[in-house]
Amino acid sequence: MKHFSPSLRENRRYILTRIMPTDLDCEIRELYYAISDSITSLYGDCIAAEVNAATILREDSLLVVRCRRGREKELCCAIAAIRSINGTQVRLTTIATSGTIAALRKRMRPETPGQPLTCIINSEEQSGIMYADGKIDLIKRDMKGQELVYLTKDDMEKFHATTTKPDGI
Amino acid sequence: MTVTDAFIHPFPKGDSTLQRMAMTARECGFDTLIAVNHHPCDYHGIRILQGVIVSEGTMKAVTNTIRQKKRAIIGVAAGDAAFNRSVLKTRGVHLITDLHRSQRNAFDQVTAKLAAENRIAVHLDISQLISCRGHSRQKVLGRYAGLLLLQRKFGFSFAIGSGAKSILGQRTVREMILLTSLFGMTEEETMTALGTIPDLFLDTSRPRVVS
Repeated sequence: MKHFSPSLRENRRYILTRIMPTDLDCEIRELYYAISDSITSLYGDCIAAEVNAATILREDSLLVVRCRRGREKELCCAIAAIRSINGTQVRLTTIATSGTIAALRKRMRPETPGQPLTCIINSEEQSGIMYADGKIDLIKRDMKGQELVYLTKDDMEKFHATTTKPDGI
Repeated sequence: MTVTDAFIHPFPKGDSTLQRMAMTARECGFDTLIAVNHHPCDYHGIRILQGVIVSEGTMKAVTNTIRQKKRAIIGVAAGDAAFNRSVLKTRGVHLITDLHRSQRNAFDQVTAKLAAENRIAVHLDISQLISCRGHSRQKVLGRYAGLLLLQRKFGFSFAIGSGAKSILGQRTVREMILLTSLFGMTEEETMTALGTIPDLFLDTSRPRVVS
């Protein structure tokens, strides 16, 4: 299909979002379906068609989403209303909006990767990730399966956690 | 101006500790949190207030909670019209919550007037807009739009909260504004609602003469 001339092409806006948890294991296609589903659910098919959302690129926990100019509000609202992807609870936070991907790239600051952490709480060994700012994502395993628990360095002291690594807490 | 997230549910009810939620709240642009069943404190520059939600649906439970938790923000889950009117006449109650679950006639112009006169805020739980889908979300949006209509006429206060049980459930102030715009709230109205709680709390925590 022949493309439109520049004067007839629609203007677009690009939205930079951060995905939480940072180690979410899903494809960009699944993120697109989640966003598209959220727009349709909130605004219906007509507005969803006008928004014309698309996922452009994903770099670690950052995602760039495209929409038609003037429909950023609807897209941001739909992104804020996303709760889970494939049954995993997620949170997408809008960071910036721009007319070019190049401008968004300047805002992309990769997060410093966390250090793996192993500790003992209530005589049970737990593993997780510790970030530079003191945040800890702990993987809690029990009979029902495993789930993430979000805490901080100070909380570990409250739980009387002892790390099994010398560089830990 | 204070920006308060009314009612979060940290660990053990949720999967995130209060400190971690306070860190996230600071990143989200809040300066005050109301944590359900946690003691008041300060973490990472965030003021944490103790919150209690009475959901038993009886006036006895409400009065008992007011007597026992004098330094807490007390929210009462809405019931039928008669119960709501009794709650709104009770001194010491700060918020009426869960109005999206009650009947449409459970909060009418009479209860709206009572809420305005007694300075009791109506709590809007944003998590309901996120977690519900289809018909149930439409119902919540319709209910909140109806409450907004009454608020604009009678002038009672709104208090907005994320109702988060996890850091993944917390939303930024900008996202709150966007989500409340779904039922017609303006940015100014949302910002006013986010700053309601400390005023209500200060008003009722002053010493008063009991005859």
